[in-house]
Amino acid sequence: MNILFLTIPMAIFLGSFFVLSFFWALRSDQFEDLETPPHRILFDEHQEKL
Amino acid sequence: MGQPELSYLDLESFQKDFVSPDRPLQMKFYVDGIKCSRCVQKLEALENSLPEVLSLRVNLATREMAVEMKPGCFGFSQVAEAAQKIGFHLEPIQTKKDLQAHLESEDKVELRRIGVAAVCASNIMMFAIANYVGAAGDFKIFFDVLSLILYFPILLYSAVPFYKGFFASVQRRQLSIDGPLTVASIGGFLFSTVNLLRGQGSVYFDSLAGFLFLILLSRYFQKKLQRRYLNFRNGFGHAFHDRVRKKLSSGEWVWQKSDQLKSGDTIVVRQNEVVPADGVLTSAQANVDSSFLTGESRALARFQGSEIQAGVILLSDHAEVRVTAVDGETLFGKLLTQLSEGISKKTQIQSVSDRWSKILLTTVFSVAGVLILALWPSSPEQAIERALALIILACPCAMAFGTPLAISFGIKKAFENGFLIRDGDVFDKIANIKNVAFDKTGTLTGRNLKIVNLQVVDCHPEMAGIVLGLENRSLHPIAEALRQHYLISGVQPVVLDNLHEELGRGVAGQFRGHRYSIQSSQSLTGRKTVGLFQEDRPLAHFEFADPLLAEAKELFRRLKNRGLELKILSGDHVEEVEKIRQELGLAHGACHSELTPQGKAEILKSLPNTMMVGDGFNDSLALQKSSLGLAVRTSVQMALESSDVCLLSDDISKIDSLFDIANKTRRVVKRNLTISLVYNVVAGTAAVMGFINPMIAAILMPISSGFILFSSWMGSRK
Repeated sequence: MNILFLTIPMAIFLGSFFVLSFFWALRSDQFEDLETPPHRILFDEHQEKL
Repeated sequence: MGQPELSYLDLESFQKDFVSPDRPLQMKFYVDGIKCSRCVQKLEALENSLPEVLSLRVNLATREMAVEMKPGCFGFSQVAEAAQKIGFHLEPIQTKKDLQAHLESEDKVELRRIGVAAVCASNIMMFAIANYVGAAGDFKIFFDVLSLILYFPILLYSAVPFYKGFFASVQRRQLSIDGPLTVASIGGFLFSTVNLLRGQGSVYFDSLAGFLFLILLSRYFQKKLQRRYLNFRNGFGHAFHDRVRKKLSSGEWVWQKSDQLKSGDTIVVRQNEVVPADGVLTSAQANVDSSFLTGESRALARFQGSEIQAGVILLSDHAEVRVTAVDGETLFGKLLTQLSEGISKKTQIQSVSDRWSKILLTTVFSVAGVLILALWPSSPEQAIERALALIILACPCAMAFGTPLAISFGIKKAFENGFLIRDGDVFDKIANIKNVAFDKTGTLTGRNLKIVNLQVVDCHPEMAGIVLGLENRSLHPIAEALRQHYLISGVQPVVLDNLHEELGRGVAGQFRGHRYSIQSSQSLTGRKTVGLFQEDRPLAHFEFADPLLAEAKELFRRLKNRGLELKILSGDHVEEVEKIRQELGLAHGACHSELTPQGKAEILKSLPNTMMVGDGFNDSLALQKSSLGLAVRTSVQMALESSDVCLLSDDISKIDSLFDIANKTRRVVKRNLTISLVYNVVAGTAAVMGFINPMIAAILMPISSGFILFSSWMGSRK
C-alpha cells in the first residue's frame, strides 16, 4: 500500500496543475471567442508579421 | 475619395471613452458586414498592411474587432478607412464599464469556483470509494483527513455564492434556496469534522462536495443558457449617432460628441439621421419622419422656425437645427426616463415556483428544528444526522434547478420559433392573459404605403416614366410607394429639368415644355391621395393605404379561437384605424385612435391581464405598462428594455405559437414540481424517521435530480 504515498501526491499535483492551467486559460480570454479560431486555421496564406 | 469624417477617431477626447483603461492602445469596433471566415481573413490581413497596427483580431460570432496600435500611434482612423475601402463599416464600441463587463468578470469567477470544486470533489470521491470498499483503521482516517483538507477549498471558495445569497435573503427576511445549501455546506462540514476528531460516527465530505459541485454547475449552465438568448447586438445601430456637426459662432463646423450638446447650439442633421435634440429648424425647410415617436405613418413637412423633436428622422437632404432642449428635457428623453423607471418594477412578480419553494423551505427548516429539539436530549448525534439528511434531501432540487431548467428549455424553444424572452416570468404571465392589444402602424400594417387605387384621368404615353422621374430621389413614403409600383414594370424614369421638391406639397419638374407635378389631391375615401398633374390638369390619381398584413388577419383568427379579447390602440388617424377595424371584424369599442404614447399606457393600465403587441419606440411605454409587452420589428436592445418578449421574425402570425410554448413550459414546470414534492415528502418522512442517513440522502438527491433532468428534457422535445 506504500504506493499510495506516491499516487496520492501525484493525483493532487495533477489536480492543482489542471486547476491552475484552467485559471490561466480563463485569464487569457481563451473562452471568449469559441467560433473564430477554428476558421482561422483554415486561412491559406498565413503571412508572417513583418 | 478619402473619408475625412473618420478623423474624429483619432481625437484624444474621443478615444477617452473608447479605449480600455488597462489597454490604452486598444479600441474595439462593431463591424457591419461580416458574414463568413473570408471576411475575417480580409480584415485580419490589414494587420500586415498597416504598419502602425500591432494586432487586429476579429470575433466572427459577435462581429467585434479589437485593434491594438503600436506605442505612440493613435491612427485608428487609418484602420477604419482601410476597412471601409474593402467594404466594412466600423462602429467604435464604448468600453464596457457597465453591466456587461460586470457580467463577464462574474462569469469568470464562477467558472473558477466550479473548476476548483470539480477537482476537489473528484479527488474526495476517490478517497471515499476506498473507504466504502473497506479501507479501515489508519487508512480510513488518512483518507478522511485528506477529504477534510480537500473540502476546504470548496467550503471557503466555491460555496461562497451560497453564503452570500443566504446572507442577502436573511437581510430581506426571506428564505431562499441558498439557505439549505449553506446549512448543508457548513453544518455538514462541522458535523463531519467533529465525528472525524471523535473517531466515530459518519463523515460526509464526499457527498457534500459532489452535491455542491453539481449545484454550482447546474446554476451556471442555467444562467448561461438564459443569457445567451438575451445577449444580442442589434443590427440597427444605436438610436443616435454618437457625434454631430456643430456650428461655431465663427461660422466654422466642428464634430462634437452628441452628449455634449447644449441648448443654443446649431447643428446640422443629414439625410436619414435621427435628430439628437429638440430644436428649431433654422434652414429653409425639411421633411421629417416622426413614426419613431408617434407611430404616424405620414411624412411631415417642417419650415424655417418650426419645432423639431429629438427622435425624428430627417428625410430631406440636410437641415440646420438650433437646439432648444437636450437629453431629459426632450420628449424622447422623457420617454426614456419613464422606461427606465418602470424596468425595476417589472421584475418583482414572483412566479409560482418561488412561492412553492418558500413554503417547502419553511416546512423543512421547521421540521428540522423540531427534530433537533426533540431528539437532542436522547441522542445529539442522531438529532443532527437526521436533520442534516432531511435538509440535504429536501433541498428543493426541483426548485433549485428543475423550474429554471424547464424555463430555459422553454426560452430556447421560443427562440427557435423566433421569440426572444427576457425572463422566465413571461410563461406565467401568458397563462393569465385575457386581452391582446395591438398597435397599428408597423405592427398590423407594414411600414410602407401601397397604392390601393390608381385612377387614370387622362392617358399619357409616358406617365410611368414621368412619375418615376419626379419621385426618383425623394425619400418620402409616397415616393417610395410609387417607385415600388412602377419599378416592377421595368419602366425607365425620364429626366426632368428643374426638378424640385415643394415641401409639404409635392415634387415638380419640366419635361418637353410642360410642367409636371405630383401633389396631394382631393380624396373621396379618406385615404391619402396624390395626383399627377400636367400644368394644372390632372392626369391620374393614386390612392394609398398602409395595407393590412395577411399575417395579421391570420393571427386575429387564431387568437379569437383561443377566446382572447382583441383590441387596437393606434396613434394614427381615425379613418385609417376604422378601415383596419372593419377588415379585421372587430367591435366598435375595441379600437382607439389618435393616441399619444402616454394615452396608450393609460388605457393599458386600466386593462389588467393584457398583452400589448407593438413596435418601435413610440410603443415602448405602452409595452412596459401592459401586463406583458411583445415587441415586433424593432431593434432587439430597445425591445428588451421595454418589453418582455421580442419577436425576431417579421411574421406576426407566429405570436399565436407563443401561447402553446408557454402552456407546455408551464406543464413541465408543474411536473417537475410534482416529482420533487412527492420525492421530498416521501424521502423527508423517511429521514425524519431515521431510515436515511446523510450519505444515502446525498445519493438520493442526485437520483431525484436525474428524474427532473429527464422530465425537463422530455418536455423540450416535440
